Amino acid sequence: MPKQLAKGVWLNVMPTTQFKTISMTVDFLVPGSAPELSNRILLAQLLETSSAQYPTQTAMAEKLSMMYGASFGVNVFRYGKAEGLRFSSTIINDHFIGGHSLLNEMIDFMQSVIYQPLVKDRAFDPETFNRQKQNLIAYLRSLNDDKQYYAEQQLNALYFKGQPFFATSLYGDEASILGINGSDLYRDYQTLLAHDQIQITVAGDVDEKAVAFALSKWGLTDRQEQIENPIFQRPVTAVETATESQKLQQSKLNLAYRLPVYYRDERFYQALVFNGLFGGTPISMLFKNVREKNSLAYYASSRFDGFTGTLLVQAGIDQSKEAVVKQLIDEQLVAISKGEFSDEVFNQVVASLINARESRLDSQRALVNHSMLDHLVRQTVSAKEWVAKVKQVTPAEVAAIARQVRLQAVYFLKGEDLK
Amino acid sequence: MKQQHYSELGETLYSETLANGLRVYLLPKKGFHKTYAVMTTDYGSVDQSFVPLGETKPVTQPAGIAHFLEHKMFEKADHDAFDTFAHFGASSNAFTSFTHTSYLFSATHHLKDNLVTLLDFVQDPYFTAQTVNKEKGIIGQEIQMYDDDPNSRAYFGTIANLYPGQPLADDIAGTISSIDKITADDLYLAHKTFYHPSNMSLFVVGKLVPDETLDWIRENQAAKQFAKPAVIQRILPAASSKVISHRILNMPVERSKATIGLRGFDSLPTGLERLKYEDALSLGFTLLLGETAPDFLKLYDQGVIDDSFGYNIEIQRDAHHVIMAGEAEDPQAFEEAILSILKGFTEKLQRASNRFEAVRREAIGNTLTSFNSLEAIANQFDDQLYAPASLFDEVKVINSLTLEDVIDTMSHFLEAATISRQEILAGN
Repeated sequence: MPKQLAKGVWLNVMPTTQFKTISMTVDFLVPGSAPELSNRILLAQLLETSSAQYPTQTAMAEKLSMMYGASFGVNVFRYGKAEGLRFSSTIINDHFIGGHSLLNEMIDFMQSVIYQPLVKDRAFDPETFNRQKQNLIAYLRSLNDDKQYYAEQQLNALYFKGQPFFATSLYGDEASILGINGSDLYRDYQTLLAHDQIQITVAGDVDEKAVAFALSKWGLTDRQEQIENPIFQRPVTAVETATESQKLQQSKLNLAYRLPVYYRDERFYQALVFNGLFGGTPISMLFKNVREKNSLAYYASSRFDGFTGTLLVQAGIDQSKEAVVKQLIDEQLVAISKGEFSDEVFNQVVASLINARESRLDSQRALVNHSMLDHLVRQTVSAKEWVAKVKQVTPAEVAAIARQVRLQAVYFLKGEDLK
Repeated sequence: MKQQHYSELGETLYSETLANGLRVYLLPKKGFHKTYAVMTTDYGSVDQSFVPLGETKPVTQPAGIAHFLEHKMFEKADHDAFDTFAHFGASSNAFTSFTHTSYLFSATHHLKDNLVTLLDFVQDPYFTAQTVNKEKGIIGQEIQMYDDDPNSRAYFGTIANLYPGQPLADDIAGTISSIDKITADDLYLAHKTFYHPSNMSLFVVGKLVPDETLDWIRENQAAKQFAKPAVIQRILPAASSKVISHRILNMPVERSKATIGLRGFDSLPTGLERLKYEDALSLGFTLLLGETAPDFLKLYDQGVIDDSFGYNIEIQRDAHHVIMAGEAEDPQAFEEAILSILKGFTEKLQRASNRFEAVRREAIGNTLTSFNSLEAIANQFDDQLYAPASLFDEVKVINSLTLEDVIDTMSHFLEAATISRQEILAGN
């Protein structure tokens, strides 16, 4: 059970001996905005590589190496309207390294990098700030060289037109990042530290008392619970379409649908089974029909995001096959909505989903993230409960879900001949 | 069944070689919910020329055939193995490397059914002209997808520059024109030769009871007939020390990339000594170019390298090399800087004694952490490359290494290695 360390500050410790490591995350959560995305990704880049005590990468790397290659990272995430800055670290269990206890050392290290950034005159150290800003921009540019990512980002911008927080990449946007300066960002970071909801999660061979005691030195203060409800219900709009040409061998067809079913609501589990049947598994209708039967793609899949009620489809295809593939995708949706699928395939999808859910119990990272999500939506669903809910889903319910799916955006990245 | 306990890891590995030659490894993991199994043949993209089992004349098959075979193994006359796995709640997949092909599943229930499915679908080929032709479109899209990916081009392009004219230079998936030549008969021939149980291993890890699991596997294998095992005759390419020293590739990228490949020409030790060689090389490169290295910081602060910089030490059957790569504003400056660090390696390593303990601890921690992941354990396990040692000996080996070992091994490798550089630049 999570323990409240101060108002708006929660600790969840999950004792387990399953892993050789102890994993800790500290999440700072806030209702998101587009400018905040750019701020936070730049903070992540800065804070991962420098602090007052460890001013350079080499100083930080050496400290982590001495802690038996402890991992340390800062990243950003988004679940619906909630946006988070996450500090995470993983250390080896004492008894594999001759009884060295690294737990307190890790918690002290986290405190140092979070609360004592590398600062000069109430601004991030200018040299480090500029270097990391430049690195981040270079990274954003290189992301565009990943065409699957690029196409999905373009689709996202279409689908969430007029909703800048959702339309913007999780990694912010170049123009906003360029405009950030070291003193404003430092001021914003102080606000974040003082006001963001905090979620601390530890999984591994530890006990709650020891962790809570080590954290008592952090001086965590009361703050508002920032996230009331992270779910975003996107309104229905007219279909947006865009085609872009680039010099590529493979074209990318990406579609976004509105599916007004939300994370852990009554019909959420039905939507998960629907997605597994439609394109979320290698036994899905998209995989079978677009890839296996018609040899039109190497990948053709769907993904469902219950935090925004969004269903995404993506396929890598030949440029001349756009219309054929679009029609095939649509036909699969229609078939499901009419209940045209066998019980055997339906049962296979259910079994596959259960396997995937139970398998996440074997990942320390997944355990930690589940704990954060449980708290975010203020509802705990154990793997057992989850499995029971998925088992209750019927084929008729899945067909009914398919009837709720509405196409909202189509993006086609057309590969031009390379001659 | 052989049983070996590794106290540094808190793991016990069970193993047995069956009568038909299949090597079986079982690693029970307490507290885990799923079981991961991977069946691997010692056959990859480089094995294009060989004497087929039971014949005397060598054949050469089209590039990409091992990967094509991997794709086609799932489809049977009346079903698809994907569906059988899904019926038992398992997710399945496969992958092909230069020297191996692996088939896997992961499941929280029905271990016996899934194991039987794995053994049966890998050992029972079914190919027709029609199913083979159908796959050409799918793999064609896979090839084109990777052709558009600059990271993939940087890596495979560098390997091709290091081994020109050899099968290693061919893409693992082949080319659209090479796979077009593949026939059902080619696939049967390759399967008959390389998928004999004596050329394969099965690694099962996670939720399992060793005795019972081995019984299931034994029972399945005892019911099948196989040809007599024979030593596979691979036709190795003529030894060639030719390396393409520099190449520029133009692609429509936003960021340029630089890659440096070092092809090893030194002879490698065997067994535990080979593992030691690999780990010493790894520590050596970490000391020179890892994040704790002063040179790393200098180049990082100068903007010559950034967070995308990384390197990989690769030892495989009949080849070994080191690949260093990163995005760069000025790829030439990147390459010159890295190569100049490597040039002065002896002196730099001698001055790194104060960092040796940190780098060694990091390597130990990384190895231990990998034992959290069933996939990492099973996929990285190789019972031939370092035989009789394996990755289970790695913590022990790293603990035993000294800075002198590292310097010796680095000299051994670097003094004989040949360099190849490649840049990917924006352009058409």
